[in-house]
Amino acid sequence: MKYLALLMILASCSSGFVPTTDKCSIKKHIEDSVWQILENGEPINKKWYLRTDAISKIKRLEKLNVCNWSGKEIYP
Amino acid sequence: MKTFSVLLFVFSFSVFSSEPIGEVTKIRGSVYKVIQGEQDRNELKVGDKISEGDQINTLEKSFTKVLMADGSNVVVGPNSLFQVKEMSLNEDKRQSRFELLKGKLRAKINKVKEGKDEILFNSRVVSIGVRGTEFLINSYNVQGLPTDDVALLEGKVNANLEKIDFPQNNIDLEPGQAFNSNKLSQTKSLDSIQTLSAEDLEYLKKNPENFLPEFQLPSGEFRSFDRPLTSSASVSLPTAAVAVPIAASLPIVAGVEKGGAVANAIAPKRIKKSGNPNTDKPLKDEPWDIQDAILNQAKLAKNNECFYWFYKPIPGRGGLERFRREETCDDDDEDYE
Repeated sequence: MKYLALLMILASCSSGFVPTTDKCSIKKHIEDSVWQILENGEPINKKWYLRTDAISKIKRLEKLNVCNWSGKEIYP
Repeated sequence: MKTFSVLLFVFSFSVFSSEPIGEVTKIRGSVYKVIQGEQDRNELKVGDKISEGDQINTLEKSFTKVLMADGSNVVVGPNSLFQVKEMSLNEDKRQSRFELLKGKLRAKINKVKEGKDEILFNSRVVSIGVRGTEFLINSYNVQGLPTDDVALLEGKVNANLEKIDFPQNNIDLEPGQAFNSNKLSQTKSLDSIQTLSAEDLEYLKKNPENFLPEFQLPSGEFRSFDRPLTSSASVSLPTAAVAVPIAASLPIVAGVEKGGAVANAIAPKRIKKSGNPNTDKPLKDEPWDIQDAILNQAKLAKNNECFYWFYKPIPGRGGLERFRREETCDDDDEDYE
């Protein structure tokens, strides 16, 4: 297990993989029950989603090393 | 030249007249007036005057009652956009044209002189010629298609159906009758005109601020008239909604996004009163496009289908409108548009 971890670290180093430090959060619309995805506090696009869809999307962005889900839910 | 000047004056009066033709007598919630040709909207209060061309915009859980100059009452329901296009009164003749662009409306028209008065209520699908009457209209979208409900409580109305695929261009409604324009269009039969039960009629008549429940559900199904309209049991909630892109021309004038200026305070975790992680409100209080998306979320997700919304201004509507579209849930490549 220790070797596997070491291998993974080495592999990530050799491929130049740098884990992102960017944070993603969600922001509720001022009136409607739809949410926008923010990356470091800025909307990633102009789309609004259901809350759980927005969080799922962030989870996928995590896998793509775009940002990490901060758990922050911003209400107007 | 003199004649031309007179004509020009008359024309300018009829088009740009700002003489009040109505007065707000009741308000609940947030109601705005958009003056024709202006971008700004003003919050209405009791006693405010309404002029030709003014648009009245009500927000969620809001309504307003307007007493018109001819003694008629118009009640504009929640999430509605209503405009007085024209109203001219003289001793012999009354000519009025109103437009319900979306939402709910009920009107009690005062003493109509048959053959002389011409009172028209237009919505996106149906045009109602009023013959002295109390009636209700809903105008909304179902799966991207505009649809109207009309119900007559008293008097007589003539509904013009030229905009829908129906064998007759006009139908007369008797008191207690109601129809949905999409149902008429689908069945092409007068049999789809419903007769409201005595209980429903009583419900609608007893309180002049009751509005007509929507006859067509987000799923496309029609409300059953076997049970009272007020009963939630009469609504079979959608189970098999077809996921189609929908331009939900629903409210938003109030929900104007202020450049994303949202307070950056992080609210504590809220307990969802609805029991659903997607909304704080009871599901029935959500607008239909969001309600439908929540109800069908799990089913759609199995097919990797998700909804998203965007907001954009519609010229002449004075605010942002919400639109719903469909995409594949893992369509992450397009998230950086």
